[in-house]
Amino acid sequence: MSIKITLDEQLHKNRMTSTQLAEAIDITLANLSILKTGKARAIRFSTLEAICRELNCQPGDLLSYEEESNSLHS
Amino acid sequence: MLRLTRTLLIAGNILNWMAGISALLIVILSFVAPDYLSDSFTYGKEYPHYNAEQLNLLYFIDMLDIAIVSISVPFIHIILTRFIKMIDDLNRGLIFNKENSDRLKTVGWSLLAVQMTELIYGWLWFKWVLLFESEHGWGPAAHFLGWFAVLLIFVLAEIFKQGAIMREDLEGTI
Repeated sequence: MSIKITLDEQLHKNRMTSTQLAEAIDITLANLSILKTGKARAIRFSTLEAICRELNCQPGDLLSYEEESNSLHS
Repeated sequence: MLRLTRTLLIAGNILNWMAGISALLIVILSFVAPDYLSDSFTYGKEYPHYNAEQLNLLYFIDMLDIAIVSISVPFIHIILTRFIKMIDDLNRGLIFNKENSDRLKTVGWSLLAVQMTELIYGWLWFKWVLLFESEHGWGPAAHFLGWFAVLLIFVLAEIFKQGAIMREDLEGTI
């Protein structure tokens, strides 16, 4: 997946653990791990909104695009 | 409902194989003991106006019909067992997945094969009707539904395939 989600930096800034964030945004820790490890296929706007609210950040602080080396467009 | 359907499918498959084995035994008997078998058929009583040659031809067409019916037995087995597996998946909460899409495609091809044997069966009966100028024959009306069922099954297979993709997307959506 070319879209990367970086939660660790924002979690560290907010002195929050993954468990605390998962509880705050009402998703399971397993699902949050799926997000962190890049295994998610899609993210709901509602989830993104909740993360940004809890971590006091913008979506751009969490999401980045990295072109994969086997991309057809490279 | 699903449990009843599953039971009926299993029972249907048992009957399917019993019919197939019986048909195969009749065909084998027609080679091993042809006189015994032909004496068992009552064509002479049913069609007293036919001569010996016509009765022999009628007997031959019947044997061919029985052989053709037995060809459809393994295909019906495939259809019924695939549906049983789909019901088992449904009971486990799995329905929209690649396996069930593939099973439906297999069912579609098997149903097509059964329809083809039905077509050959019908052609033989038409020949019989023409040869013997009989009103008895093969009725095509009900069998058109089988062809529509083939198309429907392939469409369902594609629906299941798309459903599997949507389910995977949904499972990976946080």
